[in-house]
Amino acid sequence: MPLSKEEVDKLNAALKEPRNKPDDRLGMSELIERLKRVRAVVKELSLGADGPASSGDVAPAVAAGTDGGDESVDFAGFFQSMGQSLVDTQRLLDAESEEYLRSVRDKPHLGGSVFRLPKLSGELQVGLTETKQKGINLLLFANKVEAERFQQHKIQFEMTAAPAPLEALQALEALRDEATDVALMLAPAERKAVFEDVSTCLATTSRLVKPKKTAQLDTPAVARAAFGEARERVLIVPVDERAPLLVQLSSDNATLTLWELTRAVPAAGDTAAADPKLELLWSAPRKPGRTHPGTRGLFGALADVVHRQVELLSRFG
Amino acid sequence: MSGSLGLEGLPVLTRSFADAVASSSERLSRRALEAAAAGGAAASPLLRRVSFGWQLQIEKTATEVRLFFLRKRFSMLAVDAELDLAVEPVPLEASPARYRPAEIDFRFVVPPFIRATPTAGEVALATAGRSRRPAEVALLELGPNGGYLLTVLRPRRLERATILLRDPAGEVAVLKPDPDTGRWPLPPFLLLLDAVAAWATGAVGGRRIPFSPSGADTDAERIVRQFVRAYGAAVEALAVRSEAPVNRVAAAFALHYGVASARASLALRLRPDGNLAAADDEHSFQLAMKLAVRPERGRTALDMELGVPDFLAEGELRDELIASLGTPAAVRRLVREFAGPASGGALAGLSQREVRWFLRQAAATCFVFRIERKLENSRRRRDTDIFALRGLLRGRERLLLLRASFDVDDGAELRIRLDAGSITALYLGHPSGRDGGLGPKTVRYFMALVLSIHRWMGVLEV
Repeated sequence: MPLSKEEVDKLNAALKEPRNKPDDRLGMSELIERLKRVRAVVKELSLGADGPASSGDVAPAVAAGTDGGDESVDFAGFFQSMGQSLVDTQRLLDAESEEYLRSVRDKPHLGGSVFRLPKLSGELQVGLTETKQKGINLLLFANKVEAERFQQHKIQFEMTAAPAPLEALQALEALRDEATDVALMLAPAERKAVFEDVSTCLATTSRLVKPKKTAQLDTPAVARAAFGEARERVLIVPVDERAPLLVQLSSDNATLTLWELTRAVPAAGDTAAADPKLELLWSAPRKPGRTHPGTRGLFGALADVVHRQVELLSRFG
Repeated sequence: MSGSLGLEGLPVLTRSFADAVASSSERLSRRALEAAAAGGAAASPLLRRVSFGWQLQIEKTATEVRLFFLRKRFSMLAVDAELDLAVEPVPLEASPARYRPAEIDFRFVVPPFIRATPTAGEVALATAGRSRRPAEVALLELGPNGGYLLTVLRPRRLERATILLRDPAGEVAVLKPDPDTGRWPLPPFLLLLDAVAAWATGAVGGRRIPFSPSGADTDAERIVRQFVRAYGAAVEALAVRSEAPVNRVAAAFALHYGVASARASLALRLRPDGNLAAADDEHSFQLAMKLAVRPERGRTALDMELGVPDFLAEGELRDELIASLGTPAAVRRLVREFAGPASGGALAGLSQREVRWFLRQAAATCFVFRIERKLENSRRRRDTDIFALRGLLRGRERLLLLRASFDVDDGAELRIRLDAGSITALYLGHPSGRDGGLGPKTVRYFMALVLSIHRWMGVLEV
């Protein structure tokens, strides 16, 4: 039974008012705003994903064991892991500090303390190996024999974690779309048309676009997993008439994927329809205990909205 | 690359690693940005400093100079080098310095005791009229306030060169070995030893002499030029990344980076024409060279400093060599040597305890220099070193010059073993060395050092 426009508006209005809103959950407006912000950031990032001056002559990577191989991670990825560890550790320390302060609250003779991780310093003794694909790999010596055969180079680094600068937050704010009052696409006919385009893309791998610098991601598999599940779980955010955002939260609420669908409808002034294209913008696994509180809020809010969308669609679909 | 880089590949390497730092910073900023977008402000991890220290060997093949960064070379021709590149954030308001090859100030940092550009008149005075040509003399200002002038005329003849010493009173004497013993007077060489040691420990700074590279296509100049280009490539890579950030939002999270310092330490074996020795020919000479390049008053300054090869005034290896003299077999041998001709029998009956005590107090100021190296195979060699030890012995200040041989295994970890039977006391007496002499092999070492400095300055046309 097709829904009338009034009915759809009513559904959207119902979705915007959360039934129960625990403190760490987001309201509908905030949720959509965040999704749009994520989209804007991801798009912005993908514009310059390759960087302007990467020489490409030698791409240092870190490899464990002899002569590189598949075990290697790229140099930037190594520092990213270190940075993430630094932030995660500080987060644990923050939690411990909170717990400690709570425990000494009634003991004035014990001064309150917070625990900080001021910096992370490291030194790596590495060798260099060459690979056909990646240029040079950094080799972590597995044994003494390797250390004897290779020149021993040294990489020293120092990292620190600081709050995001004000300019950065302001720049982020500037990315917000002017119109925040965007409703979910709930009309079955509209949703059906969207999913026809999605199916077209799933059938042709070349119409699936993966995020830049994620060569290891099997986008077709991710797409099949996302859209093979019950489609009533997919949220459609029509931020752009020709390119709605598709949000898919897996049924176990463990993985969130954000897609942009370029519709097979003619652009203004064109008569021919363009080929549809489905681009994976963001894929975020929910890691127990490691996910940022804000991201946890996003997962929680999405789970709530998805649940209610499924309920509403089953009632009117 | 087949295990090695051509010399021209050096800038490629430094640019890539500088790029890698910029990429890492961008990746960290993206991560922080994504976290902030998903859940509000988050802590942003930042790279405060990254430094790369590369060990490599340089070898001249039949056609070119190659750099071995990957596997070790066990070859007599491979010379060791170290490169260090440190990258640090630069203030956001200051745009990172760009590299301008035309704005480089080359400075040669010579040992303070070298009179680098003598006049013809000074040469005539120093050689008592034997020569007026600056190119064929090495002039060394030694002793307190450089009051003694050691002049080596035609230094390529090593111990057969004409060596003259002018004292503070202006008296010039020609140094010669004693016709009976064949030994050279010790005091002038002790002055030279002290000057070299003060230089090697950095107790005295070198003299900076501006110079322009001759543009000659010699290996020595090419190495210097490529090092500067390698620095420039890293500076450029970071500047370009800062000026054209990946995106405007991530740029607000990211830092700008610049090259904080770039240094190289090389031990080169050169022929007099400035090219690397392709074979261990007798005309080749070896000198350590330190290069440091940095921005200075809006320009780029390159300091090229000579080092002393095979001369240890500090460091782990020196400490290990000195410690080996304290082993039981070595101390027993030292007791016998102290009682022998070096002391004129004056120290007969010295106890092992007294020897150990002397070694302990002399260790802090001891210098060790290698006068001979014999390769047994690609990794094993036998080095002969001289130790200069000063300390109190039976209530008197004494100087002990000691010769000893070591078996060296140059594997992943350097292993040295003292041949205690090789320990020979060359001199044991007054610290001024007034009553002592040096054998021709040791004098040859000092003359080879003087010749190396002289030739090196000639190679770069300083």
